[in-house]
Amino acid sequence: MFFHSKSGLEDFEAAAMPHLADLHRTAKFLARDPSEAEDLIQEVYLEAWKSFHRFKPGTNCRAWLFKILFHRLHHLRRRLWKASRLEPLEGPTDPDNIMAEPPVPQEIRDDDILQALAKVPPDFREVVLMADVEEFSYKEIAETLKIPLGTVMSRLSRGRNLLRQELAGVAGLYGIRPYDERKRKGESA
Amino acid sequence: MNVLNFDSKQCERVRRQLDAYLSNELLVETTDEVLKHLESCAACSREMESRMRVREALHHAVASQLPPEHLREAIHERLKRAQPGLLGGSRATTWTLALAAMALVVIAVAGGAQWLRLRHGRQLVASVLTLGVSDHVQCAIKGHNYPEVANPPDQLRQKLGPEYAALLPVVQEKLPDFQVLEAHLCHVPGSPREYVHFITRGHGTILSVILTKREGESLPAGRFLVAGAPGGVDLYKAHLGGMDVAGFESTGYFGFVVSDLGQNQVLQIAATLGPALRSALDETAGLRRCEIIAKEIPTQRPQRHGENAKRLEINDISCNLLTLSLCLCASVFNSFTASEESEGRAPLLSSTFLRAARVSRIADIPAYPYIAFNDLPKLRALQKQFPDLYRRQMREGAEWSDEAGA
Repeated sequence: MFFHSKSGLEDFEAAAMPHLADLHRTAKFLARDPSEAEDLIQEVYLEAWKSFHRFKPGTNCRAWLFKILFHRLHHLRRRLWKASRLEPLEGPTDPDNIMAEPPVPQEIRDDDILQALAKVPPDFREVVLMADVEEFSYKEIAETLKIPLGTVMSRLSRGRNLLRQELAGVAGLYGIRPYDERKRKGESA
Repeated sequence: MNVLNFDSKQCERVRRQLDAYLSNELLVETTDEVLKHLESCAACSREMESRMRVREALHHAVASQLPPEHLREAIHERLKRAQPGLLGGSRATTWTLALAAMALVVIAVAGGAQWLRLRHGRQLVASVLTLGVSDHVQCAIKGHNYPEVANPPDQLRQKLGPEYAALLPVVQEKLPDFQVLEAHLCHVPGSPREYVHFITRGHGTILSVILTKREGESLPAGRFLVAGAPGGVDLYKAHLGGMDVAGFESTGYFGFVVSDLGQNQVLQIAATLGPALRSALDETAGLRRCEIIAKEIPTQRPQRHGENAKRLEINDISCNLLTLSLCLCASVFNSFTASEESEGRAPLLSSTFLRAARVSRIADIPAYPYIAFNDLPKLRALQKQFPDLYRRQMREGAEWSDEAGA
């Protein structure tokens, strides 16, 4: 048998297509533009289909697809953004910095947080997306991104903090007061 | 940016755990500890609330991004079009490919071995057929050992001797378009080899029919055969040294028809002549065997040993003759194929020589178990001093000490 059968394709689609939305939204916020994200997702599905014989039924198809997505994404990033690639940043170790938490707006609009997310460097952005949106465990993230567990934790911490900083900046542009500040004022009033 | 100062080490420790708490990655005990602190610390509780709000807002914002409608269909179309190819199949495909690769290796090895066999076979056929060509060229063409007017049949029969005289009418009958000019037992100059040679003329050229003893050797069968003539005679053909030669095997003989008539015509003549000569030779050999058996009865007696030795000497000569003929054949073959296949000549020579040695029994002397080796030093001295005599003695089983001293 040199080619997949029709039923094989149906099996693959039944297993893989339900995760299209998850993969697409992750790709959308990590690729440079929506069309690149769409191309990336098509490539991911094509590659997954070609290697579907290696997929063990009953295992986590979603994690497998994300692994392919990040493999391709990192390949693309290495190729295109080599010059501007960020060096891995360590998590905050200075106790003073730990306490430097940016204020959070009372009302967080989708556009604001997406805009803030876009400003977070990709290495941190992908960990935040994997943990806070796709809700993968640290271990799964480490396996998918092929980085140590400690790096996952430090990037997540730093990524969340960066997101808050960017969110505060974006909200400030529209005159939205930070939530913490308003709450403190309300309490004092 | 607000920088908050905490004097509680507990707050500092809990805030380090907040990321893991949010991701539900803390141990149960640590979670309980964090929760207890959050209940008692308003600042940490607010911080926790802020982080959760950001997380939920991010989740909501990103999760609301749905893929475009056309993407699902585009993926489906690409998947349908995609041919996973040879390496993208199922596990069965991978195994199939592995087996196919192994089969290819086996076929390649077997093919290589077969090619070597074919090459060796071709060389063997060519070397034997060269024998006939060289005889024709040496005796008929260069030697011009035939008269312009055919010798009378009686003279030819006399020249052929009683062993081969019966072959003359066969040649005459089967070659009606050819006139038998000469027939004789021919000797190769500088060699003890002997062969039966009929020199005929017809179609404006000279054609030789040659018979030489093969002493158990045979040509390779299979794809080297050109045709199988009626009567079970296998035919081989070649174009060597400007001559066309067709060969066939008979009982105890190689037969050759050599001329420059063209391969097809020579082959046709061999196909006609081969079975008839084979029958005639079989008949002659049968008569000869009867004659030998009749002579062997008195040879059992010691006083007739001299005659027995003489007869066996003929066999010895025939063995040596074949050895030399095969060596000659190889050397002639080399001279003919010098421009064609320079490589592979050495293996042909060595294998031919070994075969000749085996056939002539030089290398197989212990096959005669009735000889008692009870005086090895003397035997070795004899072998060194009289090698030919030694071989003859070994074969005959005679009392070597008497002759050695003679």
